[in-house]
Amino acid sequence: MNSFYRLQSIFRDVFSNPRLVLTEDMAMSNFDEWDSVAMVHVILAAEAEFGVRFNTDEVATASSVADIIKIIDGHLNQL
Amino acid sequence: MTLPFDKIDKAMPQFRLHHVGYLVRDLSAAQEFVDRLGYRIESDVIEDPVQTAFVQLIRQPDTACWLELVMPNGSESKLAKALSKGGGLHHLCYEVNDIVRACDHLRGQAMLTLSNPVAAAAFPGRQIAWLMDRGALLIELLESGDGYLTLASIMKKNGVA
Repeated sequence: MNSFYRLQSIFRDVFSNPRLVLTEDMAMSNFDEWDSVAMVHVILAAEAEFGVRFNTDEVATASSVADIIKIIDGHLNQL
Repeated sequence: MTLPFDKIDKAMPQFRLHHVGYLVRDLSAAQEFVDRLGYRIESDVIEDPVQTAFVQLIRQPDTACWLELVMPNGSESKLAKALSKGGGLHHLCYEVNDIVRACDHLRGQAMLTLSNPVAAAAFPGRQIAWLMDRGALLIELLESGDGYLTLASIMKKNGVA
């Protein structure tokens, strides 16, 4: 399963919505339930799932699905 | 199960409660704490650009930590959303001797660093950092010191060495 679908599984879990369909343009600005607390859930779950660690700048700037995938893939490419 | 104090890991950074952050719509709430619960106002109103808020520290005589009243500094404040959900208890702030080490420790304890150490507007000459866990526990770390608004200053006032 690629990063996108693994991340979709995380979002479904965090937002308690097994039918949630992730899109790259989904962002905190257009998804009301996605607040800073949900973002903490998403990032900590992504760190556990992908075995990576977000740095503080990445945490501060990530605000969309596309951002998160880019950060995860960036870390995975360095492994 | 409680752990005897002498069994606690001595390598773990010490976290000493400095203040509780309380989110309010208006800092005039300070007067309510004064009238209702005997608090005293111990700081001016300070604008904190990191929290995007105005803050004011109040404390009850003979107690060892402050209550920080926090008011968003405008509609674009990062705290506006939290206030729209009702405000109230917002964060816990701990004084630490080594803020980088304390951040590293909490980062290894399933907490996410929201802000690396930066100069604190409300506590001149000291740094603060912010972390949060999955349970929405928001923690502020504050470098210890020995002047204005430090725990050491309270200890001195209370005659504790």
